[in-house]
Amino acid sequence: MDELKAVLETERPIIQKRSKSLINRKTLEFYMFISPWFIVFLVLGLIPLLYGLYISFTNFTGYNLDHLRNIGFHNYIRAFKDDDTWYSLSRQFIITVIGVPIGTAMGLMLAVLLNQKVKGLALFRTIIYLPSIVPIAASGLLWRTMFASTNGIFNTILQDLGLPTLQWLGYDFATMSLLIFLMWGAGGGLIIYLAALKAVPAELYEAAEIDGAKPFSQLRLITIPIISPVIFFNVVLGVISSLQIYIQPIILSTSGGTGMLGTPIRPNYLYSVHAFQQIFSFNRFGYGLSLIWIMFLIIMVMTLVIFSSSKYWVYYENEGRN
Amino acid sequence: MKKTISFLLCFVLVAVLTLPSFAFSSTKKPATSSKQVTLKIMFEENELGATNADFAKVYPNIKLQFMKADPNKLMTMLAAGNGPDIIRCFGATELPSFVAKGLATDLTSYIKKSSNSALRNTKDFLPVMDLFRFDGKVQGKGPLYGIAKDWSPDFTILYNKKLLAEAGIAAPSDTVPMTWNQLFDNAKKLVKKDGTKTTQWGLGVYCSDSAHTEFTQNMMMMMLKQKGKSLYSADNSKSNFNTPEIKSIMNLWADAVKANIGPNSLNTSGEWVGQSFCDGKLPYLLIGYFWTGALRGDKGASTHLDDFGLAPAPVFEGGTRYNPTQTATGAFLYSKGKHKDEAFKTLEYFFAGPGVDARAKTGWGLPVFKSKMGLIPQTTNFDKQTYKVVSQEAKYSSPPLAFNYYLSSGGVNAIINKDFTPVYFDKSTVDEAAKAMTKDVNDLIQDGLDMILGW
Repeated sequence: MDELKAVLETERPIIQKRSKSLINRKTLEFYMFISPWFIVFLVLGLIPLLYGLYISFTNFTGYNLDHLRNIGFHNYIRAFKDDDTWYSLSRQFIITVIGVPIGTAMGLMLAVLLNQKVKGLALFRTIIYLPSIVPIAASGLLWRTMFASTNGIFNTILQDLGLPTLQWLGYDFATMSLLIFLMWGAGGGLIIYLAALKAVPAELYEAAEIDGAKPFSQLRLITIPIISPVIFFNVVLGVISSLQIYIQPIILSTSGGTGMLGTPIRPNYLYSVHAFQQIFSFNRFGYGLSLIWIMFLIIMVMTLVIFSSSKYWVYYENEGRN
Repeated sequence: MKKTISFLLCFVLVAVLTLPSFAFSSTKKPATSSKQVTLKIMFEENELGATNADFAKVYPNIKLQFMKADPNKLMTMLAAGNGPDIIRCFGATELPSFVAKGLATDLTSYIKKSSNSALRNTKDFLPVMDLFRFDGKVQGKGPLYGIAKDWSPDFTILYNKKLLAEAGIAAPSDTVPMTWNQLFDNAKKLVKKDGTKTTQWGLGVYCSDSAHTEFTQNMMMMMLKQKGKSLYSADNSKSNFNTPEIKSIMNLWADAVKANIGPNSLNTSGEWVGQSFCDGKLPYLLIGYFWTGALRGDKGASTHLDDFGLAPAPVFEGGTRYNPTQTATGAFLYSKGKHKDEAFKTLEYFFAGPGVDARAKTGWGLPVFKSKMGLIPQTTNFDKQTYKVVSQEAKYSSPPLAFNYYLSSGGVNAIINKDFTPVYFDKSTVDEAAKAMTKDVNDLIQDGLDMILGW
């Protein structure tokens, strides 16, 4: 026993040294493996973000890099005093509050339907997923043509049915048209929903059937709770992307030809459009970047709110009810 | 062993991702004429008439990289200190702004020692070339900063004789312009509907890069000049949309939009008005002479060119005739370019050399040299009639549209779209829109003043 103790005492530094060496080596390997991603993130993500933050405190207008001045919080104060900022933010929230629930529900319903055993399932899945991979500019021009008051397909159909035509891109229906365009891509979450639905144990449905549960009850009491983490994930992503929408309203706008400098009609003048215009129409780079950083903070706050609400409605099987 | 290989693979991956960034260093020394030089040109090759292949035969040491002109891309490149050597711009709306920002090169010394006699002989320049002059305060005076490629009096009216005759409307005179009221009244008579759907518009307009028959910046500037007024103060430091003259112009266009004489924000159309005209579906098209080139090249329209004609720009009763260019597309040399000698030779070749003749013969615009005007197509009856009208209209093309070089034209267009479009939908009035536009444009002018004067 004493001999054993003596050996351990002698060997302990060597063992400790070898353990540290192993840990260091593993650490080095870890950083080497993530280095490609990390370098790209640093160079193309974090540094430009921080540079944008720096520019938001200057008078940068795209041409005066050699004569840059620090103007403090002037751009941020301007944002709070700008009526267009508040108006456009309200329009962006309206799109988010209406668009995200509808988009989430549509994506989920489509996934539930496509989780059935029917003929041609692969074809239907492809067709429904297709809109989400069509480039936004191309689909925007397509929708703008379809919404055209004259010769647009929707008004042509309405006229043929003897119904009054609509100004789809006018004041009264512009937001609805934008939402229709956005919902066209609701199949984008299909793959994730389908994977989650596949993971729901079939025994639960069998047991529910035996107990006399109808399909809708099974959906409400089994499917939705079990896939609630995936729904939560899609809701968070949906809110983040919805708060940054700017290309779609600009493409739908009928001013500015096919370029990106068109001004959307007032109901579709969203916050991100307002920021985009400050930079690219008015050359107010500093001001536009300050608007973008304010939106970053808003998105962070909203994400935190959604995360803190998740304990009331997101069910994690492994941890039980949160 | 496996870990060593993994380590090496990671290193190679990182190297592959990062090393190419070092290849784009722009710290080359200016090259002499015998060394290979690569120039970046913000122009599309097919706009220039002559080809890159022909240019390479004359200047084998100069390699050209063409890129599509895009304002956002240009700003990004300039902000990165990597601007193109030759930059496309509209002389009418953009050149003074670029000069005021210190981005354009004074070409005086280059022109003096130029081997191109067309450039050295400045007396052969048409007045449109003055759009590329700027003395720091007034466009049209001072040194030359760029060269125009071509131009066109841009407020002429193309008309379809058959559609006018069907409606019992006489074709316009070649020499006496219609008044704006006559044009709009005729256009109202020419609108055809099938229920609520418009099957034929009365007037299409292409102005300020918009194909809507609406109030736009360039149209406002042109009509205001016809009334002898200006939007801006003499020193360009203030704008005022609240004058009776501007409001009368705004009211004229608001009424025209509500009467749906052409596609507009109230009634959008999926068709481009230029093509509608080529297809024989539009009686009047207010557009530059340059569109005659499209008619000649259109498969359908080219078979019956005698059905079309060109009329002078409309005028107000008691107003002055005025038909300026909205663009005068040309180019300037970037002030921080590293190969200015080679860049000027390139500019010379395409804008004052073989490119000029080739472009003039297509009829897609007028040349900027008096001696080249005879190259404009004059074969068919259509060619002869349009040439006669445009030669006469060219006399009314000066002075240039009074743009404010503290502003970007895109900025003013965006403000007009934002503040004036609600008028068409009765969500605002002309008076409210005038106040809003005055405030927004003055804010933009102030930003421009801070930028340019606060260097």
